Amino acid sequence: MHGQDSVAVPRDFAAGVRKNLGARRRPAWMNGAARMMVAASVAAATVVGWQFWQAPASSGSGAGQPVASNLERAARLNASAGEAALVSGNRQEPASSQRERSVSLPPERAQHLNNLMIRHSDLTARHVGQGITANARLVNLESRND
Amino acid sequence: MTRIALVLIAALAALPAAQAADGDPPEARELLADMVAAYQQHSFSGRFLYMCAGQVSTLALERSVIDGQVYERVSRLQGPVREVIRNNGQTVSVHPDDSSTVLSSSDELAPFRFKGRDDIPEQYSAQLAGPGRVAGRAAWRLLIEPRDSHRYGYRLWLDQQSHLLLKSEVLNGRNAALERVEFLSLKLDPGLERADFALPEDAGSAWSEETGDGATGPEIQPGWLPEGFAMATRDDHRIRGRTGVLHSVTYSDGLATFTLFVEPASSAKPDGNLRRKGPTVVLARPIRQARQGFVITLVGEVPPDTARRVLRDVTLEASGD
Repeated sequence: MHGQDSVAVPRDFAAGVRKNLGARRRPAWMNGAARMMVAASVAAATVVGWQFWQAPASSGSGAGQPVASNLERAARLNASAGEAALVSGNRQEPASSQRERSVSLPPERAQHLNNLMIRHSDLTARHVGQGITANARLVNLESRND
Repeated sequence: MTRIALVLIAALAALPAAQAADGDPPEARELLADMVAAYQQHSFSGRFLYMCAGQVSTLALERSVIDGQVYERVSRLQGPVREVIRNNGQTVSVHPDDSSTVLSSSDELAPFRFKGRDDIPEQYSAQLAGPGRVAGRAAWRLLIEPRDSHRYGYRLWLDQQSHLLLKSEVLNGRNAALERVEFLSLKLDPGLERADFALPEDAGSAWSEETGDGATGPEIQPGWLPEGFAMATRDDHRIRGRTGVLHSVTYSDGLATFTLFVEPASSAKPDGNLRRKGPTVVLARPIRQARQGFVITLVGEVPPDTARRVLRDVTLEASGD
């Protein structure tokens, strides 16, 4: 798929998680330890979770994503629940006009962008007709602003 | 007597037609409108998966509408404890160390569009793709396709009983899911009360606060918007720990949204790189207005080229111009 890295989600993935979800309970000490460990890595996570693309000096026509053909439409309609590949977040949709590269981001700048995304997700969650997805995005962002 | 017989015959003749109508699959746009109404009306709880950018999270959701007010709690079930609680207009984020931050304290903004079957943006086509099954429940599968390249498509699974969303995928132009939400369990009317959504006693400091001093800042003037997008809301806030006012305007076509943020140039330095996480892109550029430097940042769930074009053509005008 144009050199994209993608991860196909197994059909029975959700069922397996559902089965295990109710069965596993962590001991209290493990909760505490996990909290400390993950809290220490939160700042790094805000940086690592993003993919970076170098933007061209001037934008092109804006037509980077082709409209689906009739054949693709038919494929989408007939795709079953677990069939669609989930893009991993790496190297997706590289436009020909872009030059891909990884860049580091200062923690302060990363936190600021994170804050803007929180604000956007909160607004979206509260005001779109169906806000479950925006809520999920919001909870997965670190909202502390120390 | 003859008249009664005729009425009976007519009623019997109409019965099969009515039964056939009941058995017909619903119309896609009608289902979408029902989904929005169901989310605004139903009390429910459930657990769901959130998959994005190669990461999977398990979350729990409790939502209730009590006396017309929305109460909501979304919690991560693995890793550090993290919750977002909405209680009567206030949104609070609870951190792993049990401290918390007030994200917003006002819910006076009007809901976005897309509340009725006739309001579904014409830039999308909606098709019913047949029955499905999610979280052990019978579902309707819908395909929402963009008619242009300026927005993403969606694949939705709606609960046949309640019309609540059971599963959702944001699709790029190559049929790959950029983001997925999928319920593992759903319970309708779980008997939630206000006490189930109690905010932490010490709700912590506010992440931002409304300016309250009449500072309205420059007006954001988009030179180009994808067809169907319109302003949904705008606000002005001061972000704790930063100087200057953060002005924002959110645009939506009813399904996709993006927000333009403007702040003084001294408080942010854009590097010109587009950042993305699943369907969400972030792109910033410097901009000047009345000899003052600003940074304008776009955050939203639109394709990168759409973000670039919107940001390229945006201008600022003095407030009140």
